[in-house]
Amino acid sequence: MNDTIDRWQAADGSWLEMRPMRPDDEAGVKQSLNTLSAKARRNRFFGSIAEFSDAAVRRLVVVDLEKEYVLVVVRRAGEGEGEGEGEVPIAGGRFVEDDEQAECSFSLLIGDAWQGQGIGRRLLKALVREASLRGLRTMRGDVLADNRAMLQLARSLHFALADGEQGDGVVQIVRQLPDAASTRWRGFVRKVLRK
Amino acid sequence: MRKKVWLDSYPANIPAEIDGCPFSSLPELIDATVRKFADKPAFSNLGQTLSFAELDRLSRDFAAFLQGLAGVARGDRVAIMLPNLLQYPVALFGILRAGMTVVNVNPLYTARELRVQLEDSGAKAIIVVENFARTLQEALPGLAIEHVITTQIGDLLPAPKRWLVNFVVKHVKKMVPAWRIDKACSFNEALADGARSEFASVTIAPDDLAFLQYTGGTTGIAKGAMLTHGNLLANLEQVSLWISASFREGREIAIAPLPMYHIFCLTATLGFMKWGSLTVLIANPRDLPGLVKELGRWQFSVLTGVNTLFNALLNTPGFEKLDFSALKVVVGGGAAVQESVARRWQEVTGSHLTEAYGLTETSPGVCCTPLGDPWNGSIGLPVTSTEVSIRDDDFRTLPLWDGQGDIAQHTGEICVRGPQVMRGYWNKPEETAKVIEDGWLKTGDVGHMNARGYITLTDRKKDMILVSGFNVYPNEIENIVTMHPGVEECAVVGVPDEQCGEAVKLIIVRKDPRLSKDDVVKYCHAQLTGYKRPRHIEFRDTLPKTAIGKILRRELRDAAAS
Repeated sequence: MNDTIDRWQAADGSWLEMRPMRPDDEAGVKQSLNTLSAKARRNRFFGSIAEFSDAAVRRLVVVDLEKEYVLVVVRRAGEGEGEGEGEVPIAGGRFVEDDEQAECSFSLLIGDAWQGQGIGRRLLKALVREASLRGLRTMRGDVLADNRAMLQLARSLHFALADGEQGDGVVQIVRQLPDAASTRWRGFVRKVLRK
Repeated sequence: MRKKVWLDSYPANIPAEIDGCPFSSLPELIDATVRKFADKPAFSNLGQTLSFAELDRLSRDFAAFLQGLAGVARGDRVAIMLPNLLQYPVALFGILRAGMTVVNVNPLYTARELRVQLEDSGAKAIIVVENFARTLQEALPGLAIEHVITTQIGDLLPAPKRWLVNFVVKHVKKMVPAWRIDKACSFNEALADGARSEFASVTIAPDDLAFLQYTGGTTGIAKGAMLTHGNLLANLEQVSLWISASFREGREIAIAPLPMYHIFCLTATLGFMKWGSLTVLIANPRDLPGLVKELGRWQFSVLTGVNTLFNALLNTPGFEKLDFSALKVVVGGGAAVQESVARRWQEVTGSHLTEAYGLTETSPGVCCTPLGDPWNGSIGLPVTSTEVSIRDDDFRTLPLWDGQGDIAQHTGEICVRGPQVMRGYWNKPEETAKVIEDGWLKTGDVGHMNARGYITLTDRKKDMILVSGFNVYPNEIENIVTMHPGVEECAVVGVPDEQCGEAVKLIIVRKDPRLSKDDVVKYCHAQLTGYKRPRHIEFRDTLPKTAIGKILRRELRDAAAS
């Protein structure tokens, strides 16, 4: 099954692949989650998590395909195309649809050593694209007020402050999503240009 | 450029700008002050008073001693870990005169907290009261500290009172846990040493560092705000101009119950000192009957405090019987003053509670209510030479609130510009960049300004809890509690508290079902100093989270508050 969405080479020469999360990613994700710094955990979960239990990991890995879209970025040690060979999850992103409102909420998580390399940008763009293709109109996110890197990334991808009360160190951001047709068209143009 | 609307609201005697400063450094100010007021009383504590001349001599001796220390040079950091004692101003002025930088340390820190701060500052020497020498001993290994100066509570009292007090503290009250630090010398030995040496006066520029004043900031890690001599000189002038219209040189008596290591007390005390005032240092403000008794001994004209303290005093029998006839100025800082407290204070003492707003990062004074104004829920006007701007998250200036329309459009982050704004955080350029933008300091506090320039605080953007005027960062407590093996995850939120304004609530999801509240309390006690310890602890099976898995901190807080 080749469900790779994107594939590129990292600064250290290894190959990174972005694809939807699979159930058998559980073990790898659990290991990677537990290597996260306190700061990374806090930025993603807004609290302090000592250790990710099996149940917590399962909640993150098992995807409700109707309502959720979850991507993982894995690092391959070698250049081989074989599935699951030497794959280590290093980043992830998701959105969850809001019942009834054509809205969704997103979040990203990039391993500490992998931040600042544009991985978050690729993930967020992919999430926006998929959400748009699904016909969703709005994407929201909650970000810690001092998570500058995330806020800057979001701003560069056309997110703005949501209306309404902000506070307690949390910033709510929002953007409108392009309609599905124009997203499909852009995707098509991109494919054509690549040939 | 935005008009400074607040200037039109200034009382007649308050200028818009500071009119230059004759001093380039705090030592220059100290020199001039001690010369002018030589025989007048400067500081009083435990029944003993130091005159300005004595303060001059002792601090000069201490400065000479510091200059003579091997491996300690101009610009190095020297820490002070003392409660309010006469030794404090002596050490403080000694360090500044020697051209070194003061690091004020909360004497009630745990070894862990102490270590974090001393390590970050790279302090080479520390003055500590014996009562806490044991804590220092535990924190010392691996630190850059080469010289430890210990002092006993009574060291600057005259014999035989000194011996008596020191004896009682150590052997009767048993307040000194056994300690052993090899390189330690005593404060009085240090003074004697300095008296025998030559003090070399140092030229200090306004931009040189005077203090590394530690604050947690939004992320809870130790951040030392770099406060220059210029910052402090400006702020004590700004505050002085605001409150001293009725002051007479060499005649005022200021009571200082707040700790000198807290920036509010520090700057206020320097400001009063400039007037040749006597400052009465209160070593233990928690002993309220004792505090009331001490107040009864003085015809005090100035009092600084925090809402919690004013409230506690009002509830202490005997307070209402004190003689307030000399009282001129009362300033509440550190936390919001409650209306009920302000009203009762006025009724009981006949004097207004002036509210001040500021941060460690601004030395601290930013805004103050005009003297004599009754409580109106506002934190007042920006003080002299200070600009305040309310900005949205894109750093655009928001319009003034005129009482109509949607207040949310006028509510934003309070940003400050002025000579009192810190240079930045010590060795933390990234953290500095988060709070200083375009020359403005972003306070993390949220509010609005009306057409008359009055600012009202409505919220806090930073994740912080204010317990009796002390900043507590949920992040720091969460990180520590999470280290406990019995904890799976946790969150800390602030909840309203009658006594302290806000209190800390800790919510835990246990990994180990046997973990008890007692276990948590004991653990927190070992790791955190008093005001940071959670007042409420709750165990839950899960924490409320969004669909995406983020803990709903607001929901936790609202649930806790109800």
